[in-house]
Amino acid sequence: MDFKIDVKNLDLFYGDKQALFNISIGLPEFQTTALIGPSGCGKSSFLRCLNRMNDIVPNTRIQGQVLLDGRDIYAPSIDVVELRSSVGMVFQKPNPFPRSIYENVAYGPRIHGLFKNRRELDEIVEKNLRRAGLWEEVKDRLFQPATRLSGGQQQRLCIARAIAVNPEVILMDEPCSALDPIATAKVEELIDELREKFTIVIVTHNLQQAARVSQKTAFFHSGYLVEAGETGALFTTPQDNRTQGYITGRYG
Amino acid sequence: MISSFTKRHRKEKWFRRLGLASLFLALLFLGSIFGEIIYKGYPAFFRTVIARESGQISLLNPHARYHLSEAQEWIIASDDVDMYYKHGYVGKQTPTQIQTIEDLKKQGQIRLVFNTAFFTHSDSREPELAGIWGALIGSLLTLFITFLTAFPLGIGAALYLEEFASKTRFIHWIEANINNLAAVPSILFGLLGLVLFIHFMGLPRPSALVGGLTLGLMSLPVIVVTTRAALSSVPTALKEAALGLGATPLQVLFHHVLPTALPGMMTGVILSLARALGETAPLLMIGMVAFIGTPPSSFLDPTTVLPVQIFNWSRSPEMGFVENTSGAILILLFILVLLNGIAIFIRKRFES
Amino acid sequence: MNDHIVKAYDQELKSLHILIRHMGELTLEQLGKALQSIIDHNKVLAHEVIDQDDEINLLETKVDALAVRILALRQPVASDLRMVVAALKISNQVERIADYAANIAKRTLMLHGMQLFPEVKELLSLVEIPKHMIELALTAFETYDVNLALKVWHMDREEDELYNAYLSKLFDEMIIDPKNVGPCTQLLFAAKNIERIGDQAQNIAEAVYTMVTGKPFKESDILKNASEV
Repeated sequence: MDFKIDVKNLDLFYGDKQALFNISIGLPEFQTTALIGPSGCGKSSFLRCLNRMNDIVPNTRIQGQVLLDGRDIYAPSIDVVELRSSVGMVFQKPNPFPRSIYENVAYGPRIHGLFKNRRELDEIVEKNLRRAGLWEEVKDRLFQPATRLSGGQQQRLCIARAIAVNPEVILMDEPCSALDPIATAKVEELIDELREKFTIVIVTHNLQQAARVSQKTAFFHSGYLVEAGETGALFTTPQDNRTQGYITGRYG
Repeated sequence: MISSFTKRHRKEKWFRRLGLASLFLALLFLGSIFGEIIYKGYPAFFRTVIARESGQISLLNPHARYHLSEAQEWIIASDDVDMYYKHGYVGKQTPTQIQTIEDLKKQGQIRLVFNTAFFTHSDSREPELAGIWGALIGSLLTLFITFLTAFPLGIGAALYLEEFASKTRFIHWIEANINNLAAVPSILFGLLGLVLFIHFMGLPRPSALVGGLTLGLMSLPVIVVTTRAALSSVPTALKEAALGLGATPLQVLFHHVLPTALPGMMTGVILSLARALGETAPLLMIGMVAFIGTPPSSFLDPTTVLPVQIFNWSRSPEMGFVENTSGAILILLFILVLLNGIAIFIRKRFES
Repeated sequence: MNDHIVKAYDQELKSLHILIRHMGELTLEQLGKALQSIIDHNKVLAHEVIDQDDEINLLETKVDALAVRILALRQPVASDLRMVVAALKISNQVERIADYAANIAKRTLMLHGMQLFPEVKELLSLVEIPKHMIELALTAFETYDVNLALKVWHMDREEDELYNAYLSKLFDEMIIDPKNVGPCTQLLFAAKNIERIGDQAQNIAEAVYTMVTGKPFKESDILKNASEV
């Protein structure tokens, strides 16, 4: 099977401390892969390796390969800015820019020059707000500050902002941890719809959420990838005792 | 249990009362200082004048006598007359002079007018002719130089340290020293200015250039520290959001970090300029203490600034200068309050 | 296996085990009494068995309710999920076994006034294996013992042979004297019920197998493995 992202023997170091140990996993195209595991297990660090967000942390070091469509994203020839335009990211806390709703979605297309005139930009903004299921809710107040939206709306705006630059992969770092159940359900539904066009990787502490939205689940523990597999199989018949203990809520 | 609760509540009550009491004490001090200054200073904005037709030349200001030929209805009185008319202070006047003043009073030929000279004249040996104009212009020129040195250097250093410098031990060492510099007594910056700009570079002594550069050195660490604080208070989430969309670090800086940090940075700059405006000690150190009778027309001219002017007047023996001192202090305070107000306005305006 | 971090969760899962064990014990008792009633022609005992069946039905609804509650509130996954699902299945099987016991007791009422055969006593030996199977299967459920479950599963073949032998004996009786057809038919039903009980016990064993291994139970795999061992 060909993977959209293929990680091979990845080690991650923060200074002297090793955060990830020999991670190898393939992320299938047009599927959602959930990363689960206890706090500090390295799942978020792993996620941030996939768009080189760890680069901004001083003293990080990487060994091994992360192949996006077969190209190693840590190769010297890779332009990080270009990489991040094809591997988008949605963060734990909704973090819209303190600008208008319109400008939030338009920002990515603006810096990458994805449009010829104002009308095209309007279309891009509308299209992506629609994809994020937000258009009907905000079409009358596009030029109001994004910070006035509710938490759930802000998070969907952040998703709209991320997909407006036409990425191939979307990384989500606990996107629903600050949202109520209804807003969470809307985001989960959105993730399911986005799967048609994007490859999605989501870190979550909510096991039910991982079970609901993902097709593949990977369980991380103390920097190791313990087990990865089809979500249904992992949640009914985990192969490793640590996975079993974690998902059933037992001591280590 | 119950008694423990009452005890704890009582403690809290007493603590609050103590805080309230100290607040009132502080307000009392502040109020009495301001009251004293205003009480002493406001007469400086008024000046005694005598009607030309009265012909009492001896009561007029010595310089004003030369203007007798001019078609002026009212002529400035001498400072002694001024003092007597305002406060009943006799000084070195003869009883006849006192009597004349009383007569003028009855005839309505002596009165108080708004003292425009206080705002339009420069320093003078005669308190009734002395004004703050020269000092104001001097302060303005000096502050302009201060701004030109401290603003770009301070913002540049802060941006580099906060956004670009790798956190090596050397950078940490520099950071620690900048923080320490912000707490160094201002007179030491005067010493530095004296050695660096006057002895070493040979710049003209009591000029706005030297004063401004010295104050600029003094403001630099404060501007660096406040700017860095403003920059570091920009949420990481905001930067990550932009980076995640594929913005370059420079784009992140100019599109997101600077706009967000700008109010904080401007506040810091304005407050440090306000501090520079009120600074005296380092300027005394570089010799900006001379009597300057004309406003400077360039950055290299001999210059005095407002707080130094106040300092000079406060050392003069004439009664009239006491008023002038307080009047100038009022003006200085007004400008400082104005600058602080602008800083608060900027912060409130852009924070929401 | 470690305990859950949430102790109340462990308690609830334990309650499921206790309820099912209780069901099993009651059912075995019912089965014993039913057999006794048919052998002794004891109508009173038979009625007692029939009446007591309701209690077991009630226990089954309790197991169902608790299992549904755990599913809704604890959202079990992995081994916990498989255990709750197995409990649902097993309680259903045990309830069916109790129904069969009641059916046997009904035969007692039908046989009343009919002639007795020595073959009646043989029902006792016929029921030995199924009783043992129930006991072992429920133990396997409680102890997550997959080998014990497989052992139970294999015991059913033995029971089938006994059952077939008993059937031929009854047919012989019926051929000898047509008057025997009435009582023999009743005994035939009772024997059939006992054989079905063995099948149900086998189903419990299969449920335990799936619960422990997480794999669906496939007869061909089991027989293949058994021949290899």
